Amino acid sequence: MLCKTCNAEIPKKATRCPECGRAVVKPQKYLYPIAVTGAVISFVGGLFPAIQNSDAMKKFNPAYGFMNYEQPMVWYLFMLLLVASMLLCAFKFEKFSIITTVTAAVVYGITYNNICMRHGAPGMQNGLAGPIIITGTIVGVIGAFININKFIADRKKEKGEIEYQYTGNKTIWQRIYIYRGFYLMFLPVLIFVLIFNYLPMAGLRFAFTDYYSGKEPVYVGIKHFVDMFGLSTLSKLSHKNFLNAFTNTLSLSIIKLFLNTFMAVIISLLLNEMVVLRFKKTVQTVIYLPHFMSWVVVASIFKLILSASDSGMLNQMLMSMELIDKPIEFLTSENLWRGVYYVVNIWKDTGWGTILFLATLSGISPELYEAAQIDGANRFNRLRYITLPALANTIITVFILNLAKVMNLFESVFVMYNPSVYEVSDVLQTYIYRQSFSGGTANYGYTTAVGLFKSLVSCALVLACNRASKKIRGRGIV
Amino acid sequence: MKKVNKLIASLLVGSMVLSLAACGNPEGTGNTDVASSEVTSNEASSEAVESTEATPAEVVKPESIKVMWDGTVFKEGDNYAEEFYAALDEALGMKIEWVRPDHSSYAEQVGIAFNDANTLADVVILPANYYASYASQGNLWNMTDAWLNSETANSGRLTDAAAQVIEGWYVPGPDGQEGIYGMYPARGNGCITYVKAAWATAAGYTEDTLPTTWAEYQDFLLAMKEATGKAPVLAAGLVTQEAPYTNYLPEFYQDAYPEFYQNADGQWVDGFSEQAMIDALDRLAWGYSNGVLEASILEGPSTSDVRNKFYDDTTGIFTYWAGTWAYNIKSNLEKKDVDSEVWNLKPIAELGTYIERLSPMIAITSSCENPEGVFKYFIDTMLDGGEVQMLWQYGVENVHYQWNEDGATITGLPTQSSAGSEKESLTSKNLFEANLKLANFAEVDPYVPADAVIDESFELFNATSSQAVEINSSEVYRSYSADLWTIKNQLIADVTQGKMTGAEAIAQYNEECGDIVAAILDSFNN
Amino acid sequence: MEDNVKKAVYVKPKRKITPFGVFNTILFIFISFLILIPIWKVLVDSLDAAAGYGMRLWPQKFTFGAYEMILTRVDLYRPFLISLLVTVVGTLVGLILSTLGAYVLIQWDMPGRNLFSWMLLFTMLFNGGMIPTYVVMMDLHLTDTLWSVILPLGINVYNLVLMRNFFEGIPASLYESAKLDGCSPMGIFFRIVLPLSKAALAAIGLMFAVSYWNDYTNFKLYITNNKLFNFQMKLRSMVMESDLPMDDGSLSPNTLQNAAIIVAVIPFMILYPFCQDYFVKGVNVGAVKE
Repeated sequence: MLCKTCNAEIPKKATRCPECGRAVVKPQKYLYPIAVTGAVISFVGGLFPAIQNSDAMKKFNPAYGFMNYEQPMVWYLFMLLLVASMLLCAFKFEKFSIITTVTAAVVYGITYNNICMRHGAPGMQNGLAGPIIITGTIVGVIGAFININKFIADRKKEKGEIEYQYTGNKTIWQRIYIYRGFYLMFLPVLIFVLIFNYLPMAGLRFAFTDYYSGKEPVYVGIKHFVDMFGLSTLSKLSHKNFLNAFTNTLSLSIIKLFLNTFMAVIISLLLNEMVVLRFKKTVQTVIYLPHFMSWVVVASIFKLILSASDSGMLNQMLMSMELIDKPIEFLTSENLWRGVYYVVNIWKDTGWGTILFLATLSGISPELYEAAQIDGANRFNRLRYITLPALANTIITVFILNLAKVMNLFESVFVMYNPSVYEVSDVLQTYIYRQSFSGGTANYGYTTAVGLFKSLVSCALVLACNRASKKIRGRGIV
Repeated sequence: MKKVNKLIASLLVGSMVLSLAACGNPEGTGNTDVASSEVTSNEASSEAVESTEATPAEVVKPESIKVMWDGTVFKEGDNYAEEFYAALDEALGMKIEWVRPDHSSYAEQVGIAFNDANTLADVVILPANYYASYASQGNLWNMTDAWLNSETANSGRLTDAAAQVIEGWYVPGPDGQEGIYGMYPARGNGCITYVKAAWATAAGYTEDTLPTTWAEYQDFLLAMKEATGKAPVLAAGLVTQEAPYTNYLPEFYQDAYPEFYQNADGQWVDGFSEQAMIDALDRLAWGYSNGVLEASILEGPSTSDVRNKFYDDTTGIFTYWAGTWAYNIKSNLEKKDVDSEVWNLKPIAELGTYIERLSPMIAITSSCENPEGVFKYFIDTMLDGGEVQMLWQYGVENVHYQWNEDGATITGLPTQSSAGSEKESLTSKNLFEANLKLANFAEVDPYVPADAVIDESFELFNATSSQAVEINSSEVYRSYSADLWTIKNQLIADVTQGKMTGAEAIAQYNEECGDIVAAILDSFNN
Repeated sequence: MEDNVKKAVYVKPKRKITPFGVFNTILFIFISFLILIPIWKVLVDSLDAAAGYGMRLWPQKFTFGAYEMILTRVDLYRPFLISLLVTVVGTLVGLILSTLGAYVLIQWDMPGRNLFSWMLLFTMLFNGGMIPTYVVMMDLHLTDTLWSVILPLGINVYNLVLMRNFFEGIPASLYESAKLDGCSPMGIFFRIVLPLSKAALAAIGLMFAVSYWNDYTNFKLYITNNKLFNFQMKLRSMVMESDLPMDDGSLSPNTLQNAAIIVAVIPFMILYPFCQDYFVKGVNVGAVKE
């Protein structure tokens, strides 16, 4: 092998070029993402029902799959094998992953036969598990031979060259030893994350069950997803409510995000022009105040102000000024509710939002302004050519970080909405809440399924943001 | 990038390993578990029943029990709850551990608590609809035999109203057989309509000329609006979110019922798709467009908002609980310097009777280890006609009440929260009001109402009320009932605001929910 | 110092009254009023024994009764103390975890650093949802203990990332020299990183404190024992529902509701002005940094 910089011959085991000291880039083994995808598909397939019985059988349990197979060990074996496939791919033994992936499919086949014999009834239909697992297996096997990295341009090559700033050319074990103290330090964080973030993910299996309070969950396959997307005869209504909540979540939270950011920028720009420092500080403290109030409190205050009844201060005021002759239904009109919602949000959070922008603005060197002033730039030009460019980066950062949270919209809506404006206000979290807590009929299975969907969408959003962030800022969120 | 891929892959793997590990959790999956657990609970309860029958004397007294209760017994810090707990412990000779979630989210807490068999209380007080669904799921202990053989049931002290109330305790169990899975020592009570005398007088009415039909009631409302310039009626939402749903606006709903109910032929039908509901919706729309329903009714006011506005003289008509509340209303109006004379409105002809709600139910959960003992020493003693009933009904002697010199009647003492204000409280109630109890005291009830309005409102209510309809539950009902309520709430609000007529709303409802309604009725009737 | 002089020189000519300056001042006075009027109403009503629904600029029947009540009644001041306790302990837990995590994440050479980083990021992407999380808490027997409300909020990836950004800003040469002096990782952490990060600690501590203080959802889900309720729970049931402890009292129900609202905001009204400077600095360096 030759060194890239000086073309000197390098001994096989050396990590640096003996001539010029450049770190040696070992030819990398490539990851086989298609093989991994195959294993993941099979894994997901395992959650789907193996068979679905006819309507006559639906009385008790419509779907059978791994989750209610009598020997749960078989399911664990199935999943373990697929996990092994993924691990093998991750550690670049993709060819071996073929064995485990195929074995998993065989395990499924045997189970399937067994389930058919035990639970099959006349009118039985095959579930989705079979086709999905077969697809997964085929993708997994073929994927182990396709190196898609070849088709992607070589731009990744440089990446292999990791410069170890502090630890030089030590082996991985030496480095682990050097950092042993840090692992200990990370342990508490690790434990917290595992317990409170990762362990609950296991509970996502409830999305495939009927789970009523006080009852054990019963596996029902993909019933809830069918309901959510309106694919069964009884689910039109659920689908309508779900879809309404979903679209509202996206539009409400994204518009809110735009407006809040915009207002915060404007306020910070104006506040920055304020020359009397004491006044500026007082204003700042005042506009931060609403952030410390909880949503219940904010909502109860605004309900008093905006109510269409005699206690609504704004309506009373407008009426006594004879601007209107009938109270405006701020809180119950579908046309006005959103506007009111945005205004209340702006009232509560704009002040807090200005912190970052003000901090950025105070970081801009006064010399720049001074120079601009000498050059005869007016206020507007100074804003355009100095302030805004400096602020742009912060705006983008704030925007992207907040975009990650859009699907979690809950409390602000929950305390302000009412049935007359469900159509424009109901969001996924409030929908989940109502499904979970009305009248002792909660099916936690359904709500978990909706939650899973929500998580998937928000996952996609965050990944997109991270991508955008990398493009714009040259670095991701983490 | 490759590094990243690798990390994603290992991360994925990691999470799946975790999910795998968690699936190893034995209570995880499968209908077999459920079936077997149901079987065992049935067995357990039938065994239990047998054992009570065989050897009733050998019921062991539990040393301590855990009780989950809402805000309906003395509140802590408010009215000497600790003294009540201590006195009850002493009277029963066992330690009671009280779990008392926030009253306003009690129903939600119950739903969550039933998920955790390890920490679930032995005794839980349940809202009526939860009672039906938990009984049918096998979460509650079947106390039919225990009740029938109980001291209370055979004491001869039961009131006249008791038989009908106890009839309402029977709900289908997990096996479909009707049984008693819970009890409550009193009737459910209900709401009557209170009218401010000052408002009515201003509108030209006297107590004798109060409206008796819907048409008269309409004129009455309009006259009130005319006279005061204010909207007279407000309720906590257009429809209550739990049975009996219509109890805060009875004059507007009349005979309409927005849920499934059993009609005279014993068939289950959907009240929301009936003509009565169309008419009720149109009445609401009339009320809103004519400004007799206060506009904030659509804004989701809380019950405290509604009460406060009545006290504030913002509204003039208020449908609320009979009994002690009549007195509370009066005293709060006095406090606000508002004319405190309030008339009780007799149910208008179209309404017929006020609705007596199903009371909450005190049930023994299936995770209780010694249900016979808990029944005998906790539940059966609530109406013992003596010391323990005094505790449940009035509280602790010399803390909540004191005996008068005649030795036959009692007077209430100021509550903890009003101790500073020197105001004499009425003869306080604890869990239930004297007028509603299901069993009389062995001797005379020492109750003397603090104010005549309490008895007056009860008199009216007792003379003009009927029991709320039963509640049913099935798998398909549980699956879609929340979605159904979403659209029902929406339609009720839309019609009220005048966006559509009642007929259009029900047509839309039938179109969108016809299939579900049919499936639910099918599951109820077959 | 030099900067200050320059600033002074630069600012001075702007001191003259310009139309824009006047407009700006008036605008902000107006904005402040928009924010203060609702808060003023709450404050006035909390001091008015006859508080009703209308707007008053001054209490009609002045009283401290509601505040007295909150201070003397166990079911009102206990939630307040619980809130304080949870906020203090929780903020500590949160700060410890964030600083530890952030410190490890800036060890670019550490094997597994990227894995850890992705593990944390992934939790922002995906979560189990309400019921699964509840089941975990139940299995750990944490429900109905204060740990169930302290621990889950303790790990906040967003705050951790802010902290990491801040740590990155500490000059590498400081680490280097400490290492050469034979400092252990822990030693560097305590002797160099923490003392240099006061602003970030204040900023992120305040963020944790706000989230713990305003926490309602976790309490509602995990706590059924009314002796462990926090002030937000109490506030919610007083403001939203009928759970007012005072049907026999001498105050209007609105008075107590409003007093409770004020009490819920007071800790931060007092705390914030003190740490405002630190706070702004901390957030600035953490999030704006390139």
